[in-house]
Amino acid sequence: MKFCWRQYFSFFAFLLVCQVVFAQPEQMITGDFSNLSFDQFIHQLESATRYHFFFDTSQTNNLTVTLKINDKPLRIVLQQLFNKTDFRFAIDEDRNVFITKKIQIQTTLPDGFFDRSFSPDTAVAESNMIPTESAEDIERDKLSASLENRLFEIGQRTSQIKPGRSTIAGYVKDMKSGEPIAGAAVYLENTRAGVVTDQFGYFSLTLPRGRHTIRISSVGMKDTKREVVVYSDGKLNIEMQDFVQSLKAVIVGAEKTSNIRGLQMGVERLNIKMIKQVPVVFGEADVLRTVLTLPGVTSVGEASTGFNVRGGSADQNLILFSDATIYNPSHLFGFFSAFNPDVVKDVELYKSSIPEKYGGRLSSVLDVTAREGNRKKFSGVGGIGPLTSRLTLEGPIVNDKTSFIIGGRTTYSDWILKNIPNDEYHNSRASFYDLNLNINHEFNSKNSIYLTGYLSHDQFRLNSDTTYKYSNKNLNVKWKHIFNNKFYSVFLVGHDQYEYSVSSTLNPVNAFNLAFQIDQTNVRADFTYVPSSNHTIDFGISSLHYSLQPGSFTPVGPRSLVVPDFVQREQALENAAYIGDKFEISPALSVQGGLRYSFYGYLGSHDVYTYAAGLPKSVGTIQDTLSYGPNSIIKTYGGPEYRISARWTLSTNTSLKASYNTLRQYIHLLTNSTSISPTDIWKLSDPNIKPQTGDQYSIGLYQNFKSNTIETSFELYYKNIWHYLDYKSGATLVLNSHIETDVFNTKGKSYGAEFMIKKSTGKLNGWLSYTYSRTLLKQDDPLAGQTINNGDFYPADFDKPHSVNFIGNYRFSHRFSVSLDVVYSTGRPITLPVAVYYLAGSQRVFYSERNQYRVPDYFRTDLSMNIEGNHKVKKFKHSSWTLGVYNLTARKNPYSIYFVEQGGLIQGYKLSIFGTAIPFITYNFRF
Amino acid sequence: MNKNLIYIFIFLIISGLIGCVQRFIPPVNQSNPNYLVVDGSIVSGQDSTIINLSRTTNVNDSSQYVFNPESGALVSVVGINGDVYPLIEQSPGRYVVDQLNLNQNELYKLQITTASGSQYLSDSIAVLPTPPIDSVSWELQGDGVHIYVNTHDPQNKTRYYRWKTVQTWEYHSSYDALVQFTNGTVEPVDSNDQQFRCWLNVPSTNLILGSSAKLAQDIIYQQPVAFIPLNSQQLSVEYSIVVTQYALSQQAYSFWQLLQQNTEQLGSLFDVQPSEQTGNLHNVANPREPVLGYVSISTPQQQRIFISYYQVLNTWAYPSQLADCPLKIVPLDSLNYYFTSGFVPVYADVDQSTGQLIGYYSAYDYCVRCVEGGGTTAKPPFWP
Repeated sequence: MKFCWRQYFSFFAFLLVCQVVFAQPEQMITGDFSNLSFDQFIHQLESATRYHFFFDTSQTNNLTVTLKINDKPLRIVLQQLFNKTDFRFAIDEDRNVFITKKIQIQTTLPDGFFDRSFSPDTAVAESNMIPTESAEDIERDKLSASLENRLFEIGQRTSQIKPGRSTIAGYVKDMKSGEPIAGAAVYLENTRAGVVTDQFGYFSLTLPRGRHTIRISSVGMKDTKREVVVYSDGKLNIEMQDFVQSLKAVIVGAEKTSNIRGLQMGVERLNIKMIKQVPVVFGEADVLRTVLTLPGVTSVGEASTGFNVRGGSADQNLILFSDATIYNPSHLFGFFSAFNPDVVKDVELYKSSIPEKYGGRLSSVLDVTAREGNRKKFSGVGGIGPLTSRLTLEGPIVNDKTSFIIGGRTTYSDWILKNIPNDEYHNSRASFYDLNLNINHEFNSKNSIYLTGYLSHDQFRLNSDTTYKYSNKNLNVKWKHIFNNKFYSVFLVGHDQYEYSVSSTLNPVNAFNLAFQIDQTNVRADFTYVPSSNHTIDFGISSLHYSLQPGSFTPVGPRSLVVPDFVQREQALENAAYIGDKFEISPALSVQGGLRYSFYGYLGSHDVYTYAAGLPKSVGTIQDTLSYGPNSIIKTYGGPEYRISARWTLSTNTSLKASYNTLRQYIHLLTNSTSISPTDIWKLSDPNIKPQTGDQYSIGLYQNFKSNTIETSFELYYKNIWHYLDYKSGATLVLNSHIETDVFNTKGKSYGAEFMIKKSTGKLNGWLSYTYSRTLLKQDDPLAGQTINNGDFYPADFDKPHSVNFIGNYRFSHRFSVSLDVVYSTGRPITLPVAVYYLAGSQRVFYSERNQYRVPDYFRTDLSMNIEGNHKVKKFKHSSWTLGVYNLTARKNPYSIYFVEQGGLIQGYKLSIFGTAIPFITYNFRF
Repeated sequence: MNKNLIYIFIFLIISGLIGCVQRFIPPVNQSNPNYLVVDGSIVSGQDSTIINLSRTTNVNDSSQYVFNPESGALVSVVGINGDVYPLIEQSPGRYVVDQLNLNQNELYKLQITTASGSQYLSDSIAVLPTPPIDSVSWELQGDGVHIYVNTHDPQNKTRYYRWKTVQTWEYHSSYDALVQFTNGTVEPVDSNDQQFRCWLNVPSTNLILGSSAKLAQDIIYQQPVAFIPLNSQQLSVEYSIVVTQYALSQQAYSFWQLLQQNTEQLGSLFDVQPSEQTGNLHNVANPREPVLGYVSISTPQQQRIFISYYQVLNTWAYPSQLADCPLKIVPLDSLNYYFTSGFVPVYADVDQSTGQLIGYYSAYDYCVRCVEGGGTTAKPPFWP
């Protein structure tokens, strides 16, 4: 290793050296130079003498020269000029002058350079090179340090700075890959007024003209700053460096105050680096499982697809992957999330103040941002694990203009299942794959286009002849257009598809295929207008067209007698317009007000049943069937949604925030199983099924300690939910053309408190969170035909009052780190039998009050270690091993409790999914 | 990594994936709602109608047989036109009437008046004719013998079916004893009192339901009704199964299907949540009181098949129980001790040279008396 570096530097030194110097008469210089730029000064020197100057203008353009010289040689002039600066100079025998910063250029070869016995060790020592492993970092440090000290002139230079304000705008990008950095805070050092970059890394900041220091900070990146003189509106692109944790000197980001300064509350941002630190079963970084460790997020069990945010059901989360709606975000019954960790850049979860831009779901928005390809060089990452492998390639198509990233993942669990000497698993099959493709192109500084494609497919068969398949297909194109520094827009056209099918061919007479499909096409235009530094106005319109095939049942094979059955196709259009303003009233007080108006139309052609008024909806009370023609409007719903939040900064380290939100949801997931199963159906609101509506009040206190390295937050919330759909006992949800007879509306309320303490920098980092939350539902409408628990409030399936999460990561060295994950939560509610009896040859159980008991509490500890290979820069491939143990204490956490008949008697059982400690190992590489 | 290490690793992962299932004892719950349970169906035709009345018991009684009979009730089938057919309580909670001949064009109700005076009435029930069973077939597969039923309704009217089965098989004890111990002495076996051949009767405990509602014709093809695990005792000698077919209404089918979901099909990753269910009987005074059970009227159809060991000879290997049945010689002076403490004589041990009785070869009683395996020595009347 060391040896390689010496070779490298020797070679480097060889390139720099010129010919041997010999004595020559020196030319004298005389002159009075005052307040000249360095360029002008050199120009004058070059015209007056026969010297030629070589230097890097980016290093010297802040320099001004004021000198009086009287008949001095150039050497003395330069010594005088560069006295007490980092600049070094060298003059060779051809009157070439090399001006460099910090590094001295040698114009002669060292003595004995051509002597074969010369040892490389001395050569290194003499050339004053640092034999370090991270020379590349140091190079970049130097570069960024010089950028930080350089004064940027923005706009048309004027001799005098005009009073007033100007707007600067630009992109914040990763220095290494050229990828944009979303969510970076860009703010003025003195007033702390600032903005946050959008998903494309774009920002627009209005500030008083004149001299400023702009600070830029982002999670996982090294804080940086820019010195600017603003003359008028202009452009400023900023490059940030990866935050490389140093062992000796921990760089403390002194300005990590976005949790205090930010206006939004209930927002959790995780970048992929943090996600990769969290130990997960099978060793592959998992976006959703990491989201589950955040306060206010729970799930019903380990093998469940969905997650519940602040007491909302799983279908109340809008899951976006680069603005594409993902209906089923998991693979392999929920063991893996559908997001390839190598393609994900970061994840944002909005729990309470949901931006007015988003709508259509009641609980939360999970915005998963995909990476854009590396714009500077071709590279790849991948991983090999016990069940899955993945490979991602990325690179520029046109340098700095167009880049792509393509990623794929697949599983080989089939092979393992086949090798298990147990019939139950021997006959099971499970497989999945997913593919991502993102291409972006920058036409010019004002126009960029982004293409996102996503495809996932799952297929499984569990010891039976029934095969389940499901897949997500998404494609969208975004065009970002910047009108001017204060006004820009994003236009999007996209199509999302989710489908599943169940088929069985064992019995040729009954062989069938059951299929379900959602298609949604959306078009949206989002505009951001920043009229001044204390206003940011967002507005836009969107239109979403749903087309559902709610179920088709068709025969398979020539002998099948299955009668094809199609539930009528459903169509609807959901339009919305929104406007919102972030208004900074004073540095201490900011408010954000947003209004979203959504308008929903359920469209034909469709037959709609009408039910007798005042009677429970059932097949028996159907009065009439109304037929509507194609694209006729059958029923409309709509209404305003309010998004209001305010922040009051109590001190630089403390702030208080409050918010109020209302939301509407027009599409519902109908399920009568606890966790989302692959055959659950989505249903659009229609004349018989009202949209769900909800509101949320929340208040939070945020305080940072120890120079903002420790962040704490405390939030309280209260939510109301109306028209949440729960199922009737014995409901049929599949292939039901009158589903309203099998479900009923419930009223829900949920409330809770969330506490979090987080340390995101240093050798030891991680977070600890505690959440108290309750979700209660109530069904007291006698028209529903039956009441649940006598019309009293009953706990929802995902009501888990207490939960504690700890994620800790300790970095022993650059190459070795250990992560620990501890999870505790109250068990989820279940319905236990209240009596037993004999019927039809066996003991049976009688269930009554819904969700009155709980499974035992959940507790799990995971440990993982990350071992990096060496950090040779020139190595073709970098690799790391992740190994660890999931469920270290091997606790048998119950997933469910159930009672089944066995040989005529009822037995109670407790099912644990990961009932033992599971070791895992994954090999990761990048090149 | 060598191959073994990989397999060990995979095993560890899979054992984790599979998860584990443990027994669960529900928390103590004293609140038994004491609901009435009506179990049985009304048969129009040759067979008897048997209605079992009981009460729910405490949930802590699960996994043991606790039958809480409802005695002293007055039970009758009442026609809409006023005809009344009373049932007689044969044993506590078991109400029976032989040979009801009900009119297929009339509706009937089941009427129950409990000893405490509460009156229960079912909804009106139609008599559903059941089409005959086309065949009961079987197939030897890798894991055992699968038994199917096939039927069809040429009028495409029945659509919903339920089956009950009774499996009967002959099995043998390990030793056919030549002697028996009675009243302190060993004597040759009575030929009328054989202990070697036994028959076991096992009625189905799970619900077997089928429907052709989604098919173009009312055909039930290869509906699984029973399964004999490979090499099990069922086919060690001879096996028989009788399948009884009942036509159901759609409501009855939904009821039994929900009961099946609630009590037989749980334990997967995507369980349907257990739920309350209501049958077709109600307390006249308090319609909201749950009454458990669903009563139908049908004309059941039956078919019996036999499968002999000889038909599966090449595949079936019922493991010999002899390893568990060592023969032990009991000397003459210890007969009383052994033969009253779980040992049974099999045959006499005679000195080869003198011809003198030394003792008796004997074995554990379950090796000789087949009834210890749960069956009966009485040959069923239908047995060939």
